Amino acid sequence: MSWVGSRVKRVEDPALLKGEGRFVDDIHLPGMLLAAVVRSPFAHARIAGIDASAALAIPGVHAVVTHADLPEAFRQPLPLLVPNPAIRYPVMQHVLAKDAVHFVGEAIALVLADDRYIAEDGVDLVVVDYEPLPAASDFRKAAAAGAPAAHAGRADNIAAEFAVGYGEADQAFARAAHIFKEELFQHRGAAHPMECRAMLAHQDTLTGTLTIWANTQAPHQLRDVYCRMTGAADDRVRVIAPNTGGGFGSKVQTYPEHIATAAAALLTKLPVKYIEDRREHFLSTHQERDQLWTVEIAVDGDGKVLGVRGSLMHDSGAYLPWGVITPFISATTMPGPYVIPAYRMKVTCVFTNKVATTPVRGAGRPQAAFAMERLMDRVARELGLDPAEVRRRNYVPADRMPYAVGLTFRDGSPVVYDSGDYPACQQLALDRAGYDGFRAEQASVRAEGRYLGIGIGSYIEGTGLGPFEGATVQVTPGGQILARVGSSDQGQGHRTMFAQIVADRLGVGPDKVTVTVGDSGGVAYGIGTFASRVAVNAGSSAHVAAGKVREKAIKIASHLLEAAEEDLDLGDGRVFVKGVPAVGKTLGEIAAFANGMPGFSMPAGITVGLEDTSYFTPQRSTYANGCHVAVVEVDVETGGVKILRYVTAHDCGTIINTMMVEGQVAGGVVHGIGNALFEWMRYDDDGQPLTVNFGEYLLPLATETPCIEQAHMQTPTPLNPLGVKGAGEGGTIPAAAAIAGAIDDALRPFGVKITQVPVTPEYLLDLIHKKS
Amino acid sequence: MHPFTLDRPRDLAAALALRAQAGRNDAPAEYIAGGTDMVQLLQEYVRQPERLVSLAGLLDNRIEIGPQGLRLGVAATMAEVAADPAVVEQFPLISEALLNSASPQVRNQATMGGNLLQRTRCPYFRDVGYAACNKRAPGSGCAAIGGENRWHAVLGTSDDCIATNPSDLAVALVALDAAVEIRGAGGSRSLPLVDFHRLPAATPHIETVLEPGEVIAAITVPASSAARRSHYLKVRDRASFEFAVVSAAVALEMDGARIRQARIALGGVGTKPWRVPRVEAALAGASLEPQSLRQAAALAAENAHGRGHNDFKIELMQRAIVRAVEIAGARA
Amino acid sequence: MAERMLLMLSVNGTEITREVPVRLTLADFLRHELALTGTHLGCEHGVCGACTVLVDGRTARSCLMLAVQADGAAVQTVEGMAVDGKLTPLQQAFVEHHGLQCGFCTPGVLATLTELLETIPDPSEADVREWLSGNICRCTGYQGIVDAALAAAKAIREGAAGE
Repeated sequence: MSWVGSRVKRVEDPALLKGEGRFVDDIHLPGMLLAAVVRSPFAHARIAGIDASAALAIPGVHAVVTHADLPEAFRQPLPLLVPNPAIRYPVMQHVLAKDAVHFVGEAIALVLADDRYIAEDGVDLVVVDYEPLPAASDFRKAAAAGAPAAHAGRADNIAAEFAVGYGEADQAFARAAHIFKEELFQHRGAAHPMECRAMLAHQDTLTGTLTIWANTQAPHQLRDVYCRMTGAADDRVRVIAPNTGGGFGSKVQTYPEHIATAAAALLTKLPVKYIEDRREHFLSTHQERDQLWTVEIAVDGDGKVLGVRGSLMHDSGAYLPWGVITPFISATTMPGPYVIPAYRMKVTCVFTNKVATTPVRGAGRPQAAFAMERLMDRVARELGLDPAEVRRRNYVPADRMPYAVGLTFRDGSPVVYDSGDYPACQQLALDRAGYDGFRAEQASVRAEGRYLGIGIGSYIEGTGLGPFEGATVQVTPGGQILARVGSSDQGQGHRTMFAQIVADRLGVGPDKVTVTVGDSGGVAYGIGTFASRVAVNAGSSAHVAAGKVREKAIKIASHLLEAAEEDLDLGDGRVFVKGVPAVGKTLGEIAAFANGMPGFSMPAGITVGLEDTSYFTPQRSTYANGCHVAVVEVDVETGGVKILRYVTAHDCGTIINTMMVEGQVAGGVVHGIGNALFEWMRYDDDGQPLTVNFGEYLLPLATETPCIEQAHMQTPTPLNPLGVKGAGEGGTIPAAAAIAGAIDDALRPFGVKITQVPVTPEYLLDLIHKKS
Repeated sequence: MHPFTLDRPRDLAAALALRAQAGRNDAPAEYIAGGTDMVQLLQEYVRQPERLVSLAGLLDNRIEIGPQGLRLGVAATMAEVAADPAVVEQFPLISEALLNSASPQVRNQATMGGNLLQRTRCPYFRDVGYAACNKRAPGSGCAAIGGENRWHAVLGTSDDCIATNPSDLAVALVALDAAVEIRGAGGSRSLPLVDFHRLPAATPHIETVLEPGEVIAAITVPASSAARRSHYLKVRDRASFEFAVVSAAVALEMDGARIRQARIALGGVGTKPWRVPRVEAALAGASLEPQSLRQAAALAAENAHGRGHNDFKIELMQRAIVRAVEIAGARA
Repeated sequence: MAERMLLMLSVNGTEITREVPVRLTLADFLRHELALTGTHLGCEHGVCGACTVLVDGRTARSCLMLAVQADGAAVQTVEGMAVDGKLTPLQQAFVEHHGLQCGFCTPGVLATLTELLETIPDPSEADVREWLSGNICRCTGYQGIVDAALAAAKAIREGAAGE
């Protein structure tokens, strides 16, 4: 049997269920200081001075660290990690604010104390002399000429401008039978993992090695940024991501607080821990926030798409830590699962005095799916066609795979959909949802004054982005099978997944494989957990490395047993002679041999150690796809929306663990429900954040979450040896689109058309009021 | 959390003698019971009292029902009252309002008294990042009036404050003509709950009539046949654990198919729990026919004043009244 | 009137006496004074529910409670659930039904469901969802949690019937 494809129970669960997980804040080092951060209360201000004397006078406060107190290497902005020639002003945040602050929550100083209560007392007493400046808040206003400059001295707030596309879009529009235009405002709030950011830095006085425990999605990136800024050698810095309480994109970034905490540990020669609270998370952990899409679609008389064009404005926030990645993904995902003969999208990124925006689960794709699916629904409505039929007429047919869209993706490679059957996937979702029978139900309840609607959201997702991820598989003389993978886990169950992959290659159960993840000391190079890339990159590396270990074990056993390699088989932790299972060697015995005997030469052709390290490097992204169907009921008097059913059909290639994939999809959908109906990070005109707790920023709860009914397709990709595609974000991508379509459908008697998410009650009531 | 000292007096008299005061940010000492709202305010530096006086174990937590009506000891928790069989049977409005509030865990901790005294959810009050909040820092201004005010009140507002009272319980109790027994060093007094909270006017930092050294000891609700035929309708963005965008508590006395007497209070729209006597008067003798309900409900909006983002509440609260009356009227 | 107070309580069946600052929350007391780090803090304003523990058998937010408010109480945390390392039926159901991903919210969820199953031995899905409304999970979409709770209720009922 194969472990890949089985519903293997997670190795992570028992410890977490007993309260024995080890999250960063659970680690206590002797002499450790707790940090609290002085943060700007202004969206934009000059700093004229800082007086920390009152804070330093508090018993238990050890130090207050400001920009001026940092060692010189730390008195610089963080590097721009993903440059792009379109960026006009590559403005990056300092480790601690130098002489100005550009968003509410920007870190200005660290107070270090015996405990967090005392450190916060200190924060209260640090006096910062601010000279407030006008702030750029709403990105639409900030983009206009004459708006307050988000960065004083700049002529405007345009951070970057670029265009993507292919074909002759204007010509397509010139000959179209119909052209429809929409302006869509989309807000995506923030990631909000249940564990806020956490970090602990300690320099070992004996070895000089700096260890940073951080709940990061990219331990190697954090190490590399630190080394790049300070000139430290890679092997003097180790970043460990222990148990991490969710990430969803927000913990990919190397934040100023990471570097500041490390600097504080060096300055005090003591371990320093910083645990962010939720209010700080609302203020200063990156979000995804706002986009404004102005898009047009050109179709022929049958609803076949001839072209799509438009413009996209993106709220970048105050800094560009990951350049223009999010809007770039948005713009290159817009064509979606459809044949769009010509496409052109102009993108404008706008600086505002708000915390930076970087990818959150879905990473700009939910907005693209929303824009495209809104246009599809519009075409259906205008042409009097069923929304499912319009999509059917435009899907990339299965026989055109691989399908080159004509765009270049963020990794520089061409956008090529490698595999999948999009029309069949839609049909699977429709069948599961009982789409054909819904109209009768809709009509019968409408007679009772109830408004039900059904909506479709289809998507593709470029997953498994390169360049690589590494894995080492090793067998010890004691017979333990170890796998070390550089990428970190935020709850996905990576250790279980890698154990399944390795177990299959080495003929053991997954319980025999001990997996370590998230330690930059375990694997030399690494990129990180984002872009639904770990199964593709690290999974393939583990598969390849375990395969190499298998080959080597057979080769050594062939030497030890004096049998031909083709006469040997591997199973149950042993290599044995086919047909004579009693004659064999355990993997431990083989490893002992491979580890050598003092003074004896290695036999010819046998290298040291029963282990292998592999770095799988995919040539380009592999495209997952799916189709969601939502059924909602709208209360036309209160503007309330209730999701009655939610059906997904999706294809992420080979499924490694159905249980975990279903968990990823369900969690992703509910994140998308939050985006569709609830989550709104509001700011006022001065750039002051208003929703800084979970009482006002509404995450979906169990009570408004439906059962997510799932159907799977498996079209293995040819682009990696496992045939896998990413599964972590697909659930989120089309959810808002499907729900908006369902609301429109429910409110068809009113002619309501959703052009904004989240759909709040007052927005919906206003639409209904205008139409009735 | 700002440092403070804590007193655990051995009896109520000793606690009252310490003259702490609830609901005022300028009070140097404050009482704490369940603490679910207080600890939040302390955590965020919204309240920085020098001294807290614990009421744990000092106040009555009994739930008593007699021919006169219901008496709730102020230390009874939300969960205890919501699940009390006699409350569920005879005063379902109270149970519904409680079960529509907070979460099961918070209801286990939070008391009746603390619920009536919880502070507004106005984000400008709840976040010390804003300098301007007359409720938190008297005289500093009101950031909500010209700011983001979708959460704010449309009734009973002043030029100094438009914050809503967040209690669902208080809305239900006001509809049921509840009264509060107030205990002070000098003795007890009783007054209708509708007069307990103050309008903000020019002093939004003074939220109730409590004087230093006074606490609520009990809540009394008179028996009435209307209490059973009732409904608490809460409109909010998500299905649970959120403060009301708009709520309506309705209790009806019916005379066949007609309303003899209606008692209606609104939440989420007023600076205090808001009774609507003009609507009640218009409904007296009316049928449950939608047109007459809508006409009556429109009277709730007579003095309503939106500030932009919250304009939608004016129409929404009328619809909430109509629907809650319909639902209550349909009950046996 | 004091800034520190003597606190006597029982935690997971062990009697504990400590002098603590009066402003110390119960959550921080458990985590940092007793090293019971299974109780997590997700928001520190009472909404997310990660810090939920059982106080005298009923769920409470340990972030919204001062430690001194638990004086004289019996507190149970996630560390007090499994006996001799063996998972309870509720915990085991979480393994079987993928009731957790990152595990950060899980201790609070377990506390809530413990009280639920003691209060309503045969809950409906709606009951489970209503009780869970005070526990935010960002990973699972609640599906696995609801399935685990219903399965655990069944297992416990059948286990009790079999005894």
